[in-house]
Amino acid sequence: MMKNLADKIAAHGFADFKVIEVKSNENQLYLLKDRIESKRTIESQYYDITVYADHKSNDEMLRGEYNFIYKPSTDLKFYLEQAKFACSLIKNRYYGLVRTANFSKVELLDPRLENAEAIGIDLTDTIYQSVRDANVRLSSAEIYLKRSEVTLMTSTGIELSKLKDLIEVEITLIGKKGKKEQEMNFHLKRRRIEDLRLQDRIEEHMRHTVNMLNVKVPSSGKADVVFNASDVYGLMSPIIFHSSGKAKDQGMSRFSPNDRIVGQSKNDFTLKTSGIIPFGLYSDPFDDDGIPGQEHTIIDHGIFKKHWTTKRYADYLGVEPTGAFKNLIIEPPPNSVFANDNYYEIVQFSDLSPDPITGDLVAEIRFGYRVQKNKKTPVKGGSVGCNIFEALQNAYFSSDNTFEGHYLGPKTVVLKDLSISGQ
Amino acid sequence: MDQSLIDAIRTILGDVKARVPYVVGTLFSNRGLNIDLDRKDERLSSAPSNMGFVLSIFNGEHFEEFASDIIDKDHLVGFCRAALNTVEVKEPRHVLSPPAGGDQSFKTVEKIDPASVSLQEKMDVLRERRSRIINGKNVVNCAISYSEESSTKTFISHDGVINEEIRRISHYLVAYVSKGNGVKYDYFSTGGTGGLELIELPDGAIDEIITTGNQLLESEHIEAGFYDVVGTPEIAGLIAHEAFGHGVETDMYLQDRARSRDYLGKNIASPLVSIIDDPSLPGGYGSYFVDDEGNIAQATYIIKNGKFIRGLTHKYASAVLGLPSTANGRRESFARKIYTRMSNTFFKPGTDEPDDIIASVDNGVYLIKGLSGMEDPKGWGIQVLVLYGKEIKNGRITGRLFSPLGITGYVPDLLKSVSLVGKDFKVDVGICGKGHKEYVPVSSGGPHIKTRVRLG
Repeated sequence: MMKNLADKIAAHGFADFKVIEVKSNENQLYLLKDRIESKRTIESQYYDITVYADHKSNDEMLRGEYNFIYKPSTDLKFYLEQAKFACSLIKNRYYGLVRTANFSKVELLDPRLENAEAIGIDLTDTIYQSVRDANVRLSSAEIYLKRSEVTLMTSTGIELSKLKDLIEVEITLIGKKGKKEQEMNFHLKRRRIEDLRLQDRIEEHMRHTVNMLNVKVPSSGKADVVFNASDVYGLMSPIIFHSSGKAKDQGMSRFSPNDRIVGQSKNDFTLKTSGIIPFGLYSDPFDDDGIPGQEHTIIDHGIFKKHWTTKRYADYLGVEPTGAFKNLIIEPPPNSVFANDNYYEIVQFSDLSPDPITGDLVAEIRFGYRVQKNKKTPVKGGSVGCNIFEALQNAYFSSDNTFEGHYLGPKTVVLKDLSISGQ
Repeated sequence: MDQSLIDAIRTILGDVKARVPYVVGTLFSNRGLNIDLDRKDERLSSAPSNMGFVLSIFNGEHFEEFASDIIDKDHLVGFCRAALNTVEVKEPRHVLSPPAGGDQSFKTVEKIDPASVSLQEKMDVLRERRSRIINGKNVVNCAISYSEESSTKTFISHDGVINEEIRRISHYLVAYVSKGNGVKYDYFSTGGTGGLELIELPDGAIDEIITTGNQLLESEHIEAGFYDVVGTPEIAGLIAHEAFGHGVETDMYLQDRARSRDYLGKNIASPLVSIIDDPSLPGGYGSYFVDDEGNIAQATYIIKNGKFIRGLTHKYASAVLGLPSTANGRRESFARKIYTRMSNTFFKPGTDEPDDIIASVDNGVYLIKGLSGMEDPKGWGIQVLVLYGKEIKNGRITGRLFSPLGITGYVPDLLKSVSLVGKDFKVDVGICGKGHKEYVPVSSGGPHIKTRVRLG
């Protein structure tokens, strides 16, 4: 099918083309309290096609492109004619496609997923067996098990295939004490079953759910805030944006090579992008350009080293492409010791989405603890506010490492003197 | 859509109607165009595809759905027969209401058909807007996006076929400004269901985002605390959506996840507050004619004069909870399940002039543009992120800007604090997730409102 498709595209006279075939099978299971609410199976096959046409203007080579999704029952000829016209209207700076087929070996498959239905039953059993507490009950759970096969073919001779699994589990627990009820919802996304650590995660969240029944609203003021590992990727999104080749190309990046990102040596963390962490959510034998999965240091002990670049922006900037930003690795500075017995430890924000461009963050506290000396008081409500670029000047990283699907690094990150809006 | 395929599926559904209590098929297809421009580059692409088929079977106890995007008649006929053979029908615990019967067809009304305007002309309009933005003071970059999509949904049951064709347009303009130390931005968005008439810009829209972007370079962080605020229709809409939209999606009642259930029929807000969800709102970005379960769209009063009237439902929630049915069963795509979802959710306009509402504030903030929100139906909390607000002193807007701002609080407190409701009305363009997934097009809005909230 791919060869046939490639021949039809080539016959339309495009300068280049790229076809990504995605075939997948997915099982979904929805639990409502003690029963099944819904079961779903999904089969899918589509082609993500990009075609390119080149133009010359004053001896400068320019490139037009058009991207579309093709499904075999639709009219390919219609799309290709539309694409040809669209390409004639676009005159972007020229960039080339990857010319050498290369890939990295990285594990993305869980053999257990070959029997998705049985895995769904196993996970269901684990959920029901784990939620055993007089004060906590299961509200609902959603289980998604997906295996995909992705094939990339380009006009430059690249033909690569990969298989990958994805497991998602979302669980909502309800805690009850007298007439008071609170909910705790959490979402796990991994490539293999064992990385879910489902029973541990449920037990951990059950403890929080019970504690949530005694919450107070935090007090307004300044405080140190402990973020847990599942929030670090989101917390670093402004850094990831400003370290992109696209941001550099468009005059938006705050960073230049050899800039010091943080002012104090005690905060000299190292930040890497990695497409080769086994079972990493963003690990990839090759990306959509055909660039093999690899690891790059973006910030080395507080010093900005280089922008990460897709093939397009690498060509624009005249550098070697690193591929898109993949899994986040953080290596803490050696002597990052947080010595304070008065802080907030946030278990869950309602939505932790710093503005990637400005670095501004305001996030509601869905649940956490106020820690004063050795006393932990559950808190909920109010918000944490800061600017990430400023807050990272005064950050601490724990020395214990954890793997969170798309993040490998310290279990906790502390940002000092953040604004708390509460009572 | 291939009529012979529709007829074949209808025949199969007819064959099993005596054995299977509820079985329907839905075919989705779409076509569209996305144009994205920034300072240096231009991108053209088709709209993300949502072509696919779902066979939905209620076996008396739970739903079983079989979905495929391999839209080939022979394949789908075999697919449906195989699926129906695997289903074990149980003694019904719940009875779902049947989909609207008979053959019906609906289509969005548009003044200017996007197909009647060439791609070149559309590009010319967007390039001219880009040129105006990037020539603005301190502008370092811009983002211009335009999206047109025609989505067709064919809902097939054994006794009818309902077809709808929805045209949605959205258009965003963003100006990024910098004086060398950090970047700020402001945006303008427009769109809805309809045609190209939706992308006409009001006078001064581009100048305003450049001017405000520059002003935001000098903006301050607000001191955390409670403030009297005036919200634009956009902010009012975000509050309605997050506070009493998600919180009354009754699939959350099934899961014991929404506190509002205990307040049905009770006064929950200021008597000035009425909140409506209306998928039939003409031109609304979240509008549709029929939901994804074959219910014909109609408005639902959620809150009327401060009293909580009813929640939104999909069929399963309505059947299990014994609540009146509303047309709010929606799915992100053929690949996802149906949940209870909002459509166009808004405060009903009141009687006050927006200028009078601002003039009534001695010391507060005029909240102008939103960024995002997040629901918490169980805790009845609310989080709304606001791009910027302007200080109000003695009834006048001063030159001080605060950015960004976060509204947090307890929903009943916030709604009971609503003290003035404007006579104006506007809805915006949005995408809504359930938690952090299941994205569907929606709008939210209303008039200007005055209330009291915690800002941070």
